Amino acid sequence: MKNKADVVIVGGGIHGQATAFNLAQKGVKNVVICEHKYIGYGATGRCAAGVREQFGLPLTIQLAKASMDVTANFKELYGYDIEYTPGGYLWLLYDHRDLELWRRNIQIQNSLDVKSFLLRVEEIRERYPYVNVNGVLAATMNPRDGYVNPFKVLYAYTEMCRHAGVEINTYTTVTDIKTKGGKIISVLTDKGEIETNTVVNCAGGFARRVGKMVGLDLPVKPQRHEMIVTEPVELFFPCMVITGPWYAFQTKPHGSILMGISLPEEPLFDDVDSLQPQSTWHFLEKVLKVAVEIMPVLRNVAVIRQWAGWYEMTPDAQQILGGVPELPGYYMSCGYSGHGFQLGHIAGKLLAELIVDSETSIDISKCDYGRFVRGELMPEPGVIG
Amino acid sequence: MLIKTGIPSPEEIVKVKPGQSRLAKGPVAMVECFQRIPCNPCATSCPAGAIEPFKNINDLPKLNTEKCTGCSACVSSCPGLAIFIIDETYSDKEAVVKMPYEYRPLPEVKSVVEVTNRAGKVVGTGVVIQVVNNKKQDKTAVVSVAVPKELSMEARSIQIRKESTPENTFICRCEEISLQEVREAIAKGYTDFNELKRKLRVGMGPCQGLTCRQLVLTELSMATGQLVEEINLTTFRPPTKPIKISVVAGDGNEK
Repeated sequence: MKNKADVVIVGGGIHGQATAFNLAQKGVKNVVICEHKYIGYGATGRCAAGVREQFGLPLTIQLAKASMDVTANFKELYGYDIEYTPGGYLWLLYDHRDLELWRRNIQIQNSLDVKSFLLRVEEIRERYPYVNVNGVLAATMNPRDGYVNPFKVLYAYTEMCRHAGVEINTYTTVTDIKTKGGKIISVLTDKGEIETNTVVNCAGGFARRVGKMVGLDLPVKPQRHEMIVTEPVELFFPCMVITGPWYAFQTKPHGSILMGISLPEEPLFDDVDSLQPQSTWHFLEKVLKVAVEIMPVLRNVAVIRQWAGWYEMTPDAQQILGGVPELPGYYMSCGYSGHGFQLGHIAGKLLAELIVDSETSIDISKCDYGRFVRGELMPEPGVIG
Repeated sequence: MLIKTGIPSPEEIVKVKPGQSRLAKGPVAMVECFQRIPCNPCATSCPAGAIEPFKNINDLPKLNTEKCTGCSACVSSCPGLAIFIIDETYSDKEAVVKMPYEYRPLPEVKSVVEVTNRAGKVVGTGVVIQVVNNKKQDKTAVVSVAVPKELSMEARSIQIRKESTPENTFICRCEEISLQEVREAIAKGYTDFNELKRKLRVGMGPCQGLTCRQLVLTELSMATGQLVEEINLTTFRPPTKPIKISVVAGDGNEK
């Protein structure tokens, strides 16, 4: 392990690696990633890996669209097939308030060149005959939305990072960050000390802990979310079907079906260690009961695995992306609240721009940590769960 | 010997070999059953009544070779895969052995295959001349193989592949991951068992690693020098066996 680095990144998930890769591409020589477990242990390796442009806030839509541009062209850009499956998010709307909200969202999306639209019940029935439309008023659809294989994305970055000279240290826990006179001087790990002036907190569910190391009380709290995956079956539905808390989609080319449901009864924790990412029978029953109701055709498919991961929630369900005026050299890309994986490409790019050029191609100043102190929250209405 | 090795001895074989004069007349069954177990489908399936009805279900089959037409109905009905049809009149130099075959893929007609003896040892080559795999065979196909005449009493199975290679050896059967893919990923730096799982999907199929876990660990150990017991395992995740959604959630109709 290097004992000196230009930038030390805490966390080897999508955000840590995308940031490292973009820094290396911008010519930063000594980038070191410290990952406390293996690559893929955290939320990136546990996520559903949906990618979409259907959000509600202009800034989120702008970021999502820019990230989608990378997702959709990943193979051309970097040579790796990440199994991007466009097919759209079919967002089923059951009450008039939601319908009004999404009408507005679609207007905002369209104004930002996202080609989303509303589907009437007859259109849903015609296009997606296996979806039970009982009680449905309408659905939103954006054909460019879809999903990717999170492992393919993550390990593509791992290989690209290593190729670009980034040092990735697995099983290396950052224990403290040393500062002197308002500046970072080094990072302490269980494998030794790394001298550096720049640290990026990409620690996902552990971000709060890495904030405390420099005296910041980040309002980032992990919440358990679970998923199940079925045996592979013949490909029959191309889109992600969403009711709000519940969602299901079929991976391509593999054919397995992934499903999840957000449960409001899951508490928020200080970090993942207290959350215990374990599967529960409670979740299994909840997710499958909705499944047979929304898509009865699924009843004969077998579940082969269930696992747990976490959202890292902030008070406005939006990320903290950027630096802090109190401590130059300390940057954060965390608190994505369940839609972080898909923003990895763009967040890594913008953060690298901020670190190297001090300015970014998309204005992310509103994503700063200070908004919680100023009381300028920017709640995202398009969050699953 | 059969009881210990699964391979009948020459003395046992001699007892069930059809007589030379019967063999000269055309296809005839050879019932290589030597163990008294409660099993009688051979007798009940024989349309010619050539296998005598059992007095006791534990009896060994008694074949009347004169009545036997060599139709092969008994070949796929025998759960022990112990019955063969021998036709020494196929050509001047070749005999045909019809054998039960439960491996997949099935051989292609006209393909040249390696022929093995009762112990699984390759004894020569043969040509597949017919593959019968209808509903009646109930997944135990009857494969007819033309073999040199001198192998008619030796040839009892076939091997489609000449040899196993890392490319054609599957480590993870559920996800069809080959030994070659596992070795390449390890060589690329995926030396953590958890990373290897996510990279290749080994152990992500319906068996959840029951079959491949140990094999992958052994490969990792050989490549990295780490002891198998020191390698961090992947998380064991529910359910232990695949479970139908309706078992947990009903069929969605009840309210």
